[in-house]
Amino acid sequence: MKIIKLFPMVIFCLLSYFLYWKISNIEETKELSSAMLNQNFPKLDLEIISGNSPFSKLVGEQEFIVNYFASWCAPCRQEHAILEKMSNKNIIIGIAYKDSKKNVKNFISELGNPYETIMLDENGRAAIELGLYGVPETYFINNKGKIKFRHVGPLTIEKFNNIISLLSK
Amino acid sequence: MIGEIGYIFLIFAFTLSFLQFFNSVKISFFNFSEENFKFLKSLTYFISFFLLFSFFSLIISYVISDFSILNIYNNSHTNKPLLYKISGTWGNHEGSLLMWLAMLGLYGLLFTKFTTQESNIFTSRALFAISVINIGFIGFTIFTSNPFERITPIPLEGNGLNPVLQDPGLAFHPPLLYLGYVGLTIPFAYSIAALLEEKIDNQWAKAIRPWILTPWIFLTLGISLGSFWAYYELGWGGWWFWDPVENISLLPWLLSTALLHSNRVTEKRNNLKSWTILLSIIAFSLTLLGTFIVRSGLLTSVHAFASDPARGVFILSFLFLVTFFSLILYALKYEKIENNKSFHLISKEGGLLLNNVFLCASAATILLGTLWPLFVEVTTGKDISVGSPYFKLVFLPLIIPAIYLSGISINLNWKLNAMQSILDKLGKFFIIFIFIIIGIAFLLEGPAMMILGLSLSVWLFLSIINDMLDKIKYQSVKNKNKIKKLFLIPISTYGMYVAHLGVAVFILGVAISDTKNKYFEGILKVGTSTEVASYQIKFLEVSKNTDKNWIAEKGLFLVRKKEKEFIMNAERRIYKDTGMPSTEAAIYRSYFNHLYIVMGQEQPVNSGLRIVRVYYNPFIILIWMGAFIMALGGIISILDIKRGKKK
Repeated sequence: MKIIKLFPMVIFCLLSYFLYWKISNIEETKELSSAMLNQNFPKLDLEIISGNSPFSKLVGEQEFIVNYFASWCAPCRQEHAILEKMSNKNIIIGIAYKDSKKNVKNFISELGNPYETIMLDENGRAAIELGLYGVPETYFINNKGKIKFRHVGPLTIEKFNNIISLLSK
Repeated sequence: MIGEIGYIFLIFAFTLSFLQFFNSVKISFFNFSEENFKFLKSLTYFISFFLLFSFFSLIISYVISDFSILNIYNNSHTNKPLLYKISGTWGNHEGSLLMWLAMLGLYGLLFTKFTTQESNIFTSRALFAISVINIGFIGFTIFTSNPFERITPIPLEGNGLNPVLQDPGLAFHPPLLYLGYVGLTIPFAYSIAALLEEKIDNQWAKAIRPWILTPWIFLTLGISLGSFWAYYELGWGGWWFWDPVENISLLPWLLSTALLHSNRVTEKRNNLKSWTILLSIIAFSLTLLGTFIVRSGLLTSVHAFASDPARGVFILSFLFLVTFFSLILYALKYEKIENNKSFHLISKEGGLLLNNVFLCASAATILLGTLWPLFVEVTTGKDISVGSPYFKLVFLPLIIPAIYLSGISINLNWKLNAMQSILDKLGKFFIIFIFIIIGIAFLLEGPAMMILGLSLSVWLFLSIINDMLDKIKYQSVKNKNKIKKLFLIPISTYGMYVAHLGVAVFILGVAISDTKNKYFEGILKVGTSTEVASYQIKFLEVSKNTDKNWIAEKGLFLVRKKEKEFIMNAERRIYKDTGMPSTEAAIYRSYFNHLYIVMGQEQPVNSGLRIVRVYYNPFIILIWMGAFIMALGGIISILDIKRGKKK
């Protein structure tokens, strides 16, 4: 009869432990998978705002990164500084999502240009082909032209380096 | 500027909560002095004011569209009507937490001001519990979810609010629900103080009653308003979807309903004491668990906030600490408070105990069903979802006997009831009941479930009438007419009658609308028509017009029933800033019945073909009316407490 008073606590502890275990593992499952992984990077027919089309010399030749951004997106501003830092070691192609040429140019002149090429996906057609989830979103393409990783949301430096080191393997 | 003031107020409140904590520990456990107690009281008032004003400053920042605050940039827009600018304040994670805090402050204030406890040591012990909750929640807001965070450069325009949230029903649904959730802090604080005092008696139970009733009323209103919103805004045609977050909000309601009943036993019979304490601890923990589940991204639902595991870890640790120590305290003091008087099963307390068993069991099955997908995912790696078939299967068999039982319990007296007198009291009414049910079964066509539901409703209704007649008959005052005798029945008894009448009305609505509804789902071209439940519905045309912040496609439907003809407008809105669509169902009401039309997207474009859904929901309005009557019963019961104080 005395044990009954501890019963609620025991149940509760088990439940808490389970929830803790679950939440501490949530990070791994959080990365969204994509049907585009290990597929060839699609040839996108987009207007080029600055730089050269990546399809002529990059795809299948070199590793590169495609970053979807928008001038109206607040997390993209936050991510921009990180892209700036990483752009001297990596080739980054920027695609502006549902944006206008003028706004993109203002955005770049204000925050700097980490992009080798900037393309404009004005109505979001190309985003459908890639299965874009939201901006910012970044695709990592290996030297065989295949999409190896996809990251949804702003990148951090650790995350960026982590993916780059996995990409060359 | 206003943002900084709000943030500073939040930090003040946080700092003062620590002071509140240390001071309450000092005077409740070491040496008590009246002076320190006064200081503790004024601390509590200050914390409340700071929390309330911090919340107001966020509201003001929303009203003036201060986009330098990240939260406002993400959730507001200058084109939004004023009401939704204001309601945008709590339409997101950070803002809703601040509202939570403001309400916590409000309840702390009300508790300190209006507590009927004569012992000031008791009050400071309760404030000790409240200070822990204050520290936890304010800390959570400041460290993981600061609503006043700034961004530079300052954007010119905000990112809008989720369009489905732009609705009056939803503007008031969260505040009501939170008033319920947060209100359960007070019974919790009372229970902790009582455990520390090692003294639980009738007086304690009497004092705690309004503090259980208040959150219960708000939970009832908040949940039903949310359900009504989902019914006409989401366009799914139903009123309850067993969505994880709906379930999680139902748990504190079930527990506080159980608590109301068990507390009655403690008040009248000085019994079930440790059970009442345990229920108030668990009811409060369940609100914390709900917060955790909704805000950690553990479960997906229409309610999910932007998920962040770091927040989840914080709330979980807090939930764990608070509940763990409360339950340890409970286990330590268990023998001191429980006297385990046995009582007769056929008595009001027996009936209420059984009612508690059923309510708690149904809460447990809902919790299990809601968390089950997580267990399965962890153990087998499979993704499953638990939907309404499960909940209907396990919830109904538990709640149906509970309702039959409550009809009997209303008619039972406290202490021992002789079997013979019960049979005398219930005999006549039982015969009437049987006749009505047989009558219904013959007159109305419908599945067995409908007859069962109707019988529940009739049963409750008759048992209320029966008890009332009985009370009038046996009023001790002689030579008075029956009308005068009606006034001699205590107001709280009327509150009880009204609340249970609400349950009867609610069940009537569920039983009929769930079994007798008719619907049409299909593709309609402009100019064609369909028929649902003897309503002829002709799809006339679609017109487009632009409102302040959305583009509306209005579908005109000509509805004819016998000689009556009328037009119904089903709307589809596309919000300009986000491009997100939302549906506004057209609802035609006749008596208690709804004719409900939802118009979908044109597909393919320019073909004139649209998916149209028409539902005929008889008696559905009784569901929300019943919930409202329940809440009304609660309000009547609260009125009685004032009268009781005067005596």
